[in-house]
Amino acid sequence: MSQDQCGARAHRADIVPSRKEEPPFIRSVFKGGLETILWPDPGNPRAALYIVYPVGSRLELPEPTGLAHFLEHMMFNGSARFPDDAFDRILEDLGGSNNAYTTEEITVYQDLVPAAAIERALELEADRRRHLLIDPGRVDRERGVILSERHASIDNDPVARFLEEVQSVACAGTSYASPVIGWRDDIERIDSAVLREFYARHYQTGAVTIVGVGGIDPDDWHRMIDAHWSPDAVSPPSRPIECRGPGASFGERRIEATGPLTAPYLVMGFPAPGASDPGARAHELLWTILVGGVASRLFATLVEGKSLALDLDMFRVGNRVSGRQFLGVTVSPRRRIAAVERVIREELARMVDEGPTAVERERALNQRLASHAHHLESVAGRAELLVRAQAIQGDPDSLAEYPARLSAVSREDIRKAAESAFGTGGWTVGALAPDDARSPTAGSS
Amino acid sequence: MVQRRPRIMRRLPDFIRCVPTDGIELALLPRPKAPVMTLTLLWQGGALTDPTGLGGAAALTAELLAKGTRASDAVTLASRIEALGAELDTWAGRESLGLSLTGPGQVFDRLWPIVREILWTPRFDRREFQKTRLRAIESIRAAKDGDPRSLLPLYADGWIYGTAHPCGHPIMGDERSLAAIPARLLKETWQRHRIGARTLVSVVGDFDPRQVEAELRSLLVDSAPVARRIPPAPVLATAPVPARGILIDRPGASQGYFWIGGLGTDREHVDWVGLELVHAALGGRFNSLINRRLRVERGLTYGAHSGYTLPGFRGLSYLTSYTPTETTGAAIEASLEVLGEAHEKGFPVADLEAARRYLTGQEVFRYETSGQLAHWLRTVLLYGRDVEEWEHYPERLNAVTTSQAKRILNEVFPAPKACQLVVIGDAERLLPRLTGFGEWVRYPIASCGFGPPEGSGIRIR
Repeated sequence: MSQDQCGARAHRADIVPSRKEEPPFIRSVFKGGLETILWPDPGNPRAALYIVYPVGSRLELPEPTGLAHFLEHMMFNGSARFPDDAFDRILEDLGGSNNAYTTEEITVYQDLVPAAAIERALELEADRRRHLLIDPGRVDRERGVILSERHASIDNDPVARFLEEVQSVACAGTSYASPVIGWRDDIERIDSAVLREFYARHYQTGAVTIVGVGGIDPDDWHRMIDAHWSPDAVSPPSRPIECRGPGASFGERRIEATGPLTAPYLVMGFPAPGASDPGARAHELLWTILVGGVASRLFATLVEGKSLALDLDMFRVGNRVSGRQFLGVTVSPRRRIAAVERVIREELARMVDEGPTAVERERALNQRLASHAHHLESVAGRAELLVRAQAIQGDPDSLAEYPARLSAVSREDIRKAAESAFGTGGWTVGALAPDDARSPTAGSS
Repeated sequence: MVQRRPRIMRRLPDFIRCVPTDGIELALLPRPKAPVMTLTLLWQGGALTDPTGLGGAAALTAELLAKGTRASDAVTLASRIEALGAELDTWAGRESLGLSLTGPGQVFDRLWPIVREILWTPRFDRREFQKTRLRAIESIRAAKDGDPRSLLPLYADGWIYGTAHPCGHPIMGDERSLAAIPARLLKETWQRHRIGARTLVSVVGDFDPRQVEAELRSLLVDSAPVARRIPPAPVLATAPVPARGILIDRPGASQGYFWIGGLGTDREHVDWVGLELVHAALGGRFNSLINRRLRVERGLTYGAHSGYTLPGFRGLSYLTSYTPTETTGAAIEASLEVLGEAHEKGFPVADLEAARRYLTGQEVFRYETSGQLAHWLRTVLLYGRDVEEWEHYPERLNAVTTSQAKRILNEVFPAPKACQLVVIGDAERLLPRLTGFGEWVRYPIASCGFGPPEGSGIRIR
């Protein structure tokens, strides 16, 4: 391509799904209750295959915590037909990559493959859904992997360790109180027998949703599902099991601690509606107004305006059900946690009283719609949207209606969302301060 | 002026590349109906040009660019952009300074005036400067308390290049160098990039190239006719490395986090497709040799991988992983074994073929979103590369023979005995497990910066 020519319009670009009102995807239910959602994108050389099991850490009790996540790891450790690490080897041989994640509520297996390899990926997924070996030797080896994962993601990060405790306090008495990865003692005692039992109970065809996006022909899709995903002979179609979320609680719970860190950390948890609740969209906009972007209320005030904080983050426990929305603040080492908490309380009270401005509502709306557009760009992004709509919201069609529903949210709706989140108690506040050796007066080199 | 030219690209998204005036270089990639549009402006320079002792100057300059214009203060500017659902990103790399705006295609007409303001009338407000700098310093301290994984490459840069070298300090600077930066340096740094280097521009999304080209010409009307220049290749220290590695003490850490490697190669002197293949086999995917040995076969770690940097000067090659303190010595040993086997015997044919099939299949996933395409164009523009390099990727991948793969590894990755080690963890508990590897320089994680503090590191044999 020569450097000095300014050419005419180029044409070759990837196909982008049209954003029609009607859902661009096809839902089907197969024998045994197996459900599939296909979003065909003719000509796309890629395919995303996501297998969703409606089981997460909330269904572990009274078994050891971390079981659902441990099983997710074992799914990569061999079946009779594809032993040991054959799943990964074959999938990579096909030019595919894969991953998986477990939450409190779902376990999702993600395969990104060239579209031509979709049938083989479906076959591999069907095989491990039914014929997993769970060999004791491999369980022990995988335990080492999971313990290393726990050390890396939690144990060696004081904030992550603290958040585990905050979650257990905020969600006490519900099945959302334990960390998805599990407590260390539990990970150490999980064995092949308990894993097998959990697998048999929760990985039934009647519970599975298969999501396909990309260059997949709908007729082919149905033939492939029929060929590889035969229903279980004995099991009844299982229904999703519902758990009570960490909804109502005492007024306010506080947890205070010191730890090996220089920047104090403040976390506040608030009641949040379940994903299918009519107020969920207003709640989404509320938190975007508060924390989404540099101009958001709390970022502009705490980080940009008053230099009280270094950064803000947000996370949520419980999505299907009414859960907890957490706001995390990395406090500037020169500031006091109490000062930051006071400013946040004032801002939240103001939101309950006055609601957002028209500019704030509009900005948050455009930010969320733009984020939605980003997801539509890739097969993986679209698959993830479908997983959320189906497995979290319980209604894939809600995806097509998302822009309209979001746009319909008024300023008063957002104010009401603030009232139910901040005006009715049920808060959890956690404050993690530097231990004596790390406090600013102790000095550092 | 606008000329038709034959289409050359057959596999990858086609784009228009041109030099409308001498100070500007464009790559325009229209994608009809794409929901997202990305504009990127790039200038050669970056952290390499930070004055000695003032590391982080380019990074801070980039950050300040987003902190307001003559018409809008920092929050107002952010609000104007976010209100359109768009995002502004400004950054310094080791060899460049950049700015990108990403947002829904239909709002871009309203973003152009904002880009114009940022380029022509950035505020560089003194108070914003002080705030941003303090926040950067405090964030570095906070990062040293957190997950050590992200810190390893910073310590590795300091140790391998040496802290006196332009690549030995982190791009973002460190606690001391940031504190020493004077406010006026940022304006100077900005002018040096903006006027002293060609403006490299890419646009990806649903747009009319003629209209965008006109917009860009008027936006960059002051761009001086400067020749494309390759950033100065930094001179590497030739002094013998004083020890086998560094041990950064983080008391109470339950794992050892390690990095094994040394100087690699630069973009001009390697077949990068062959290099990708070598790393896919060695440590660039789940079934790579290193992840299989450490994770799949021995359950030592959640993840082990290899990596490299490939700048215009000599970059780094490395293996990296982490494992509980008790097994850190064994995991380092196993990693060196894997590297040694590949160095001596080359890659098993089956592994090399599997890596080849993996990369072949994954290629389409690299050019899927506007952001990915913009990232690709950044490399094309910054290094002045011929796009045919990417167009013929599958053929080039297939052409790499087993012996070539071995030769590439031998050339770009130090042999195990020559590798340097960087370890973060609880030094007291780790030391008995590490003494067999050679001499270590040990210093606390709370030390200022990332390189060994002069004279104060404890040397342990």
